[in-house]
Amino acid sequence: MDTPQTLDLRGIRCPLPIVRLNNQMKLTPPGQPLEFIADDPAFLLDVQAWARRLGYPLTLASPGGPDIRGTVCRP
Amino acid sequence: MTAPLHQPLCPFPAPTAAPAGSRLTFIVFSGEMDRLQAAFTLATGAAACGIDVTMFFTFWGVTLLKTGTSNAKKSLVERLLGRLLPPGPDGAPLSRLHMGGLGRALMTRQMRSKGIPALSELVAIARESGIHFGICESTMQMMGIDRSELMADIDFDLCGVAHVWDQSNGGQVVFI
Repeated sequence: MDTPQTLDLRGIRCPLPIVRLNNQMKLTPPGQPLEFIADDPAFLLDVQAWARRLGYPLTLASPGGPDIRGTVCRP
Repeated sequence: MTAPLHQPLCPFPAPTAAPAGSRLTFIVFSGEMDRLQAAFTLATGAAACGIDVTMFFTFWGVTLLKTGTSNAKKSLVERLLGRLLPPGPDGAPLSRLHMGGLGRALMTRQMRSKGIPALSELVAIARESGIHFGICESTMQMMGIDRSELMADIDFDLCGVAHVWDQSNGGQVVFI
């Protein structure tokens, strides 16, 4: 598996984190994991809704601190 | 990444059918910055979630897209409206606490410091997101707005209600 690239979504607020994650996802080939880090509190629920709607498998890191980290991958 | 990962949160394999309610139409009637900010935040977020979005601009909403002036022949009322209506995303007033522009300036500064996108940025995102833009032809006539005065490089349909409802195709409609 390729080393995942990390998308930094810190310092921006709704709807920018989801818009930028979605844009980056379109550029990421299927099967290649995309790692992200965000600090918008709304993003925790938003990213789950986004991934569920689009059918992208999502893993979130255990919460710790203000940052939300995770990985998403286009099947 | 150093923190441990939870199990995948979304069902796998991916759902094959489009989720219910995957079409959304915004009737953008208002011309105030805060209402437009809400409309564009909701619309661009929806488009990012794979929802097919149409924004139909009517009445004061059209002034958002009017950014220029033309030499087209206009009546006195049309010229007056052209002078009185604030042009473009940077001219829209707040619906409350505008205070002659002070409220808007403070709100804009607050948004910038918090990482909240400006209205003009959201409009640009909407244009890049494949959101379908429709503009009420009657409003254009009523306010004497010439097509050449609308935001450049924007794809839109000048249309009426039948086209709007055809586009909405039974999906959800938001009036703002």
